[in-house]
Amino acid sequence: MSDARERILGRIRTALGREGPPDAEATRSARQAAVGDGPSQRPEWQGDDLARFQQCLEAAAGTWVAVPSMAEVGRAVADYLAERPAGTAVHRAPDPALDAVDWPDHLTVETARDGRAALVGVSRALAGMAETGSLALASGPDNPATLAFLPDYHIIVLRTADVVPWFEDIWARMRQTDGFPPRSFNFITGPSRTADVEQTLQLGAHGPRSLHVVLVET
Amino acid sequence: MESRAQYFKPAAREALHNPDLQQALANVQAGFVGKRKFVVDRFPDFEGLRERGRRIKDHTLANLDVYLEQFEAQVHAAGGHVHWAGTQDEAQKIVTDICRQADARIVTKGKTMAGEEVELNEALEAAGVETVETDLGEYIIQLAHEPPSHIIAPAIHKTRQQISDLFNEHHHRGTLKDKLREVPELVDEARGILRQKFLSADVGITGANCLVAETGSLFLVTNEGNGDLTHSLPRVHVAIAGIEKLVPTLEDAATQLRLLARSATGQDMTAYTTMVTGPRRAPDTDGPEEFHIVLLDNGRTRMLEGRFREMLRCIRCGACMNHCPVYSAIGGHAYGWVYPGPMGSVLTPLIVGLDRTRDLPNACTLNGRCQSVCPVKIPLPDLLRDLREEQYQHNLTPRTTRWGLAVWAWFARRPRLYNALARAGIGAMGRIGRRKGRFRHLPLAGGWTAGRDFPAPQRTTFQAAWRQQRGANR
Amino acid sequence: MVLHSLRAGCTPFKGRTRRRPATNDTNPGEHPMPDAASATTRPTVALFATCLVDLFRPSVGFASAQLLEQAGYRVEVPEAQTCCGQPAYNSGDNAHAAAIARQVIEAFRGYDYVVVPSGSCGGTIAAHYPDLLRHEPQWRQAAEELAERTWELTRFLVEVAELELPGVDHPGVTTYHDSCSGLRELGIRSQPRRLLGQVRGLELREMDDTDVCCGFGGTFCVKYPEISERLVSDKVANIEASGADMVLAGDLGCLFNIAGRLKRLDKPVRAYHVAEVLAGTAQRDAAIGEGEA
Ligand code: SF4
Repeated sequence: MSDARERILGRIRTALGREGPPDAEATRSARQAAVGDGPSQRPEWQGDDLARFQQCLEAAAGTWVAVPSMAEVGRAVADYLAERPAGTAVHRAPDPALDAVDWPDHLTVETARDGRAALVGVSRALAGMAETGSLALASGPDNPATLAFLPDYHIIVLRTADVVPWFEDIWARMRQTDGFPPRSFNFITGPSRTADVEQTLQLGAHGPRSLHVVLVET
Repeated sequence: MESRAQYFKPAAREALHNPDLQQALANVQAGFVGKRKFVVDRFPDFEGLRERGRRIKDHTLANLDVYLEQFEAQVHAAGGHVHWAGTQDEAQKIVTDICRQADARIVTKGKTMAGEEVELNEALEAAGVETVETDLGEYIIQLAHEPPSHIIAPAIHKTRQQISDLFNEHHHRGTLKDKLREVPELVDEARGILRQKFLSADVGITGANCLVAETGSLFLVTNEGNGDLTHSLPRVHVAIAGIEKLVPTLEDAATQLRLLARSATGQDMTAYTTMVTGPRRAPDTDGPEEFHIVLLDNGRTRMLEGRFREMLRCIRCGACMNHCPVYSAIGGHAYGWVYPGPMGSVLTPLIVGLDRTRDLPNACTLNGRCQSVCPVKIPLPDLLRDLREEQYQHNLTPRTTRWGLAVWAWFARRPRLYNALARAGIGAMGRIGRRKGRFRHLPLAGGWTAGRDFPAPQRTTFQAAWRQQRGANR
Repeated sequence: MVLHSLRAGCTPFKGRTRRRPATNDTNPGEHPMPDAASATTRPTVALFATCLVDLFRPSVGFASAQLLEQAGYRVEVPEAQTCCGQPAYNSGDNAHAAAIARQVIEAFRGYDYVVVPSGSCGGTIAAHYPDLLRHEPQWRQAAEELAERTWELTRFLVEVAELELPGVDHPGVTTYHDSCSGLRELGIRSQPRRLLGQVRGLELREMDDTDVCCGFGGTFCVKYPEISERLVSDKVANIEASGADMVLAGDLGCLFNIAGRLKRLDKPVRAYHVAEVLAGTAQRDAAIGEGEA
C-alpha cells in the first residue's frame, strides 16, 4: 500500500511545514540539542551493582544462588529442582558457555532447539541490569527465545562480570556485538505474573511460574 | 469499535448505580495510585525524567517523517515488511490479507489498543479466522463480548464472581454454577486453555509500546509473557502501532521504559520487556518466519498539525485515568470508545469527531491531577478546554449554555449594573434563607440541590458592605 | 508557512504557544520577591474578592482585607470588578472570557499587588489570561504583567507579607481540603497549613485524598450532578473519617459544594474559608450553610 505511505508522509510534511527533503544528519544533531548530552535520569544506589541486582531481582520475586564456577551450575540446578515438583528433565540452551557445566548424573539433560517440550529450561543471559534486577537475553541458535517463556521453571545462568548498572550500559555493550539486534532481545525481571483478576497479583500467568538465577562468580 | 460516546450521560448514570462495577473500581485507586507513588518517590529525579520524556517525544513528532523513514529502512534491513494504514479500513485489509496469505486458522493476539481502535478482532472473525486474545484481561472481556474499560487493565471492571461465572460458562458448560473461585485457580485455568492456542496459532498479532527508529525495533512490555508467546511461536508475527509510537534511539527507548512501567503499574520494570527486530534469522531455531509492522495513522497526522499535537506524546500508560476522580466514579465504558478517562476524552473527539462526543471534553472538573502524573507532561485539562472552545466555535455547545453565558457576560461587563442587581438579588435571597442558612430547593438549580443543600448568602454583597463601611472610593 | 524546522530542530506549533507558570504541575511558578518593606511603607493591595465571595460570603472578603491590613498593606477594592471570566473560559466561550479578562486587567492596572482569596480565580488570572489573550499582543503583555502581580491570598501572606498572626485562637480539630486549581496551578499547599499552625488551639488533622477534587468543577457540578455528587460524597466521607469538626479550604466554590453535601447529610462538621479562621472571624460568623443563631 505504497500510496498510503505517500499520503501519510505527505500529510506529516505538510503538518510540519517541510519545504525540502528532510536531512537525517541535521535531525540527529537536533535530537542532541533537544534532549541534551547527558544520560537519562535513572535510579541510583549505594553499594555495588551486584548487590543492587540481587536485591531488585528478589523484589521481583526472582531467586538466585551464587556458584564459584560454570562447572558448579549443574549442582545448583539439581539442588533447586530437588526442592520442587519439577522432575529431573532439563532442557538447556545450546549456548557454548554452558558446555562447561557439570551436570549431576540423575538429571536428564537435553539440548533444546526451542522451548516446546521443556518443563525446566536453562538459558544464559548476556547481561544483568542492576537498575531493575533484569536479565538480558538475546534470541538465536544459542538461546532460543521460546525456552525462556514455555517452561514452568526457568533457570538463567549469568556471570557476575556481566552485571552492568543501567540500560545505557547494555546498549553500549550490545552495539559492539555482532548480530545485534537479534530477533528478540528480552529483559526478564522475575517470573510471569498477572493482576487482571481484581488487581490480585498471581505468578505464573502464561510464562514461567518461577525464575531462578545462577550467578557464576568470575 | 463503534463509538458510543454520545450515550455518556445515561451510561455514567448506570455505572454509578452498578454495585459490581463500583466494587471493582474501588480496587483501581487502591492498587495503582499507591504503587505508582511508591516507586516514583524513590526515583531520584522523576520530574527530570518526565521532562526528558516530553522532550524526546516533542522532538520525534517534530521530525516524524525522518524517523518513520529511518524506521522503515531498518525494518527492511532486518528482513521485515512495513505497511502503512491511513484508516481503519486500510488497517483491517492489510492484516486480514496477511492472515489469508498465511492460511491462518488461529490467530493469537497480545493486547493492542491500536488494534482495538481499528476493530481488528471483528475484521478477522469476519474473515473466518479464530482470534484469541491472550492477555488475561483481554481474554476475559473477549469472553464477555465487552470492550476494554482501561488501557492497561482491560477487565478491571469485572469482579472475581463475574470472572468465575464467565469461565464456568465457557470452560465448564455451566457445571460450576455460581461458584466463586480463587484467583490462582482462575489464572491457571486460563493458562491451560491459552497455552494450547499459543502452540497452534498460525499468526500472532501484537501492539507495540514503542518503536525505535535507530534499529527498526519495537518494544513490548508485559507482565504475563503473553506478548512473547504471541510473537515467538506462530509462523507470522504482525505488529500494529500508531505512527506516534516512535522514538529515535535505544537510549530514548530506555527513558520511555523507565517512565512507562512506573506510571502504569507502579513497577520499576515489568516482568517482560522485549525488543523485537524483524523475523527469525537464518540460523535461529525458533521465532516467526515473517515479520510485518502496520503503521497506523487514523487521525494522527491531523493532530500533528495543530494545537493537539501534544496529545501525540501519549505513551498509553493509563496513569491519567488511574488518578481521575471521574473515571474512578464511572469506570471506562461510559466514555464509549476504546480510550477512556482523560486521555480518551481528548483522543476520542479528535479521532471519532466532535459532534458524536459532546460530553467527553465537558465531563471533567479540570482538577489537573491527570496532568500532574502524566509521564510526558501532556496538559490534558488545557486540551479539554481547547476542545470545549472548538465545540463552542462549531456551535456544538448547548444553546441554553450559550445564552446563559452571553447574558451573564453582558452583566459582568457592566459592573455598576451588576453590583446593583447583585445587591438586590442577594438581599432577597439572604432574607429568605438567612435563618436556616441553606436552601433545600432553588429554582433553576435542580442539578445542585438534588444531592446538596445550597448555602444561603449573607445579608448583602461584599462590594456593597465594603463601600458602606469604608466609603465609596475604596 | 516558512519554518526553520531543521535548523531549529523542532518545528514550532502552527497553533499557539502556551504560557504557563514556570512549572505547570505541582510546583509553584516563580514570583519576584519584594524588598522587605516595613509595615508603614508597605504598598497598596487591590483585593479581587471574586464573584462568589461578593455574592455569597462577604465575610471572606472582610477577613482577607483584615489579614492584609494586619500585615501592613493598604487595601482597596476596585469597583469595576465582577468576575474573572472563568465560567466562559471553561465553557469554551473565549470571546466573552477575553472581554472580561480585558476588563479585569483595566480594573487592576497600577496596583502593586492583586490578591485573590481563591486559587481558582487566581489561577485563571495568573495561569490562563496570557494564553486567552494570545491573539492580541498588547493585551497579552498586559495579562502577563498582571499575572506577575497577582497572588492567591495565603501564598501572599506567607511569601510576600511574611505575616505573623497576632494571637488568634480557634480551638478544635480541623482538616484542610486542597482546592485543585490552587494546588496545581499556583502551588498552594504548605502556605495555608503554615498559617494555620500559628492559630492557638487548632489541631490540623489531614484527611485521606486531601488533594483529590471535591467534584465542584464550576459548571461541572450542575452539568453532571450525579458524578459530582459521588465525588463530593467521597470527599465528605474522608472529612468525616479524619475526625475533624471543621473543614477549611481556600476556595468558596469547593466549600459551597462540600458544605452543601455536609448539610444535606446532616453532618455536624462546619465549613469555613481559611481566611475566616486566620482573621478570627469564624468564631463570630455562622459557618457556610448554617443559620444565624
Ligand atoms: S495521557 Fe499521559 S498519563 Fe494518560 S495515558 Fe497518555 S501518557 Fe499516560
